[in-house]
Amino acid sequence: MSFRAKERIFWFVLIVFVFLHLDLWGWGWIEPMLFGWIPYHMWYHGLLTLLVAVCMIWLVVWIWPEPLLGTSKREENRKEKVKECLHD
Amino acid sequence: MTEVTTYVVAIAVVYLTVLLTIGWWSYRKTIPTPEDFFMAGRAFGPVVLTLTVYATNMTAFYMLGTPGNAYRQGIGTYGYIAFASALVIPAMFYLIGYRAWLVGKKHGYMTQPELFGARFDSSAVALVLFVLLVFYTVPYIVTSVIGAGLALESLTQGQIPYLWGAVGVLLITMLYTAFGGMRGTAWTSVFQGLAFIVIGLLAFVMIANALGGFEAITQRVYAERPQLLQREGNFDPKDWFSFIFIAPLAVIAFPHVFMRVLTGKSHRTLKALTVVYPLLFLLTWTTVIYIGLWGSVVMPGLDAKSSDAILPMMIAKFLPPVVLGLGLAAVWAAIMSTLDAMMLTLSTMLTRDLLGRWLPQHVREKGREVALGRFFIVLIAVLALVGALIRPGTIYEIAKFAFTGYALTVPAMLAALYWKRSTAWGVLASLVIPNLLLPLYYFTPYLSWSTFGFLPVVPLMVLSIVLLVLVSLWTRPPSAQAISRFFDLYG
Repeated sequence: MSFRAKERIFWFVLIVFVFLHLDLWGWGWIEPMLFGWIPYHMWYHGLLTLLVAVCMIWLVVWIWPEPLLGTSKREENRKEKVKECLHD
Repeated sequence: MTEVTTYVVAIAVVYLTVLLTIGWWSYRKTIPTPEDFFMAGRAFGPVVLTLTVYATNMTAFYMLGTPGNAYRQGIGTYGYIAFASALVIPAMFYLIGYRAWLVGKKHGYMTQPELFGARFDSSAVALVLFVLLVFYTVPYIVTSVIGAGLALESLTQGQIPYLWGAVGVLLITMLYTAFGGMRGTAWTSVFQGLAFIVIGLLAFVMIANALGGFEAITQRVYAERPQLLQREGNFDPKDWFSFIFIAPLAVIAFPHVFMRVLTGKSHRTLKALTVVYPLLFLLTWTTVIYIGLWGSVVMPGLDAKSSDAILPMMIAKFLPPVVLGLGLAAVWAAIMSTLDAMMLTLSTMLTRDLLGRWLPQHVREKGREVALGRFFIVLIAVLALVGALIRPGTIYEIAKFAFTGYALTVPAMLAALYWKRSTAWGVLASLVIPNLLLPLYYFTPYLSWSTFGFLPVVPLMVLSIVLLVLVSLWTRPPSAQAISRFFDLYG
């Protein structure tokens, strides 16, 4: 699968999360209350947060491109300047 | 002085001494070059970068405003602010942060005006971004100083006046920021981030125990204020949707967060930041939201402004005096880690983006640019103190206005990094016109008809995007050289 296709799927999944975040069906729900102190909204959005973290793992492992950075002239100059300062 | 005040003052002194020590250590490590003073040599690894960005992101709004909101509007505060942030902010680290980091690393840019001005070969873009970011950051600095003073005053039950806390925090922050630069503010943020995460968890467990356990106190909320355990009646769906575009989207545009993202050593540090960020929200926001929620039945009847202090009030009521001092340290940690970053960022922008363009060569020589940066940090601290003395509004009001302004710079940043055809004129139109209309939405009723029930950020964001596209298509794009300087790096 190409990088663009994988990236598109990632953004689509994020939009799905926005719809799940709106969850208009559950605005009046308190039950089921987990362990007697975690109401519906809290465990539902807590679970969504964990799924977002999984989604971010998917992003960084399979989608995030490697940088094309080489050593620039500026970077060389900076290193030289740091050396000069250290010798001062 | 009572026993409580003695403990609070003793722990505050120890805490501030640790910060000054870290600042002094950073001063000894810092080489007097702009790259090292302002950016710490762009050498932060994953742990330091993640904690410093997170601590910079958390401020008085999180420590005071969020539990206050849970007190008034209930458990839905988690989804409203925390989940929306956990979803959008990491995505923005990838979308904007990564490309900006690549360009910054390659060409040495440190600030948004510098980076985006170069992208469009335009001093006007740099100047407008500079003016907008300074305009929204100064009041945000003032909210931090106000929050620091209020926290000390409420934890000592009025024995130490507001002004003492505000001046003390400002003075210490100014000292370690001016001496330690980015290295000093980042390492103090690591310490502060760990402090408010650990103390927050400790306070959460101890307050629950003092109230009979998690189940007992939450069931009491269920019996006495059941509406606070649901969203219906507490939140409006359109407001709920709109808020995604305010605080979560604004974070990558905060100059103090943006600048820190550029200090990552490699792209792997940004990857770690992206993965851990949602988990940090779940770990830390849940605790302060529950404390605010429980406060609604333990200390009922507080008005909107007083309920902003529910977290320190709960700590003062239910924790032993020695832990009370740690509570103050946690609140100050969240506030100071943002305050120092904002002071350093404003100083960097004043030195590099405003004066940097007209500075004669001899001032740019070794050490002088850094000295100028330190002078600006002192100047900003004095201005912030004046603002804190005036206290122009509540923390929530000031922050919401500033967040909307920051969020309105995001379309221009995205276009600069992704759309080759975008132009300086398009970006200027998308920045200037919506930001001129913003005060009309917030402070007058004239444009309220155009929100259709959403927050002003929604119509303004649409306007910003439309102007950006239309004006860019009508005007000449920047030189091929300016475009390739950026886009050749993305692959």
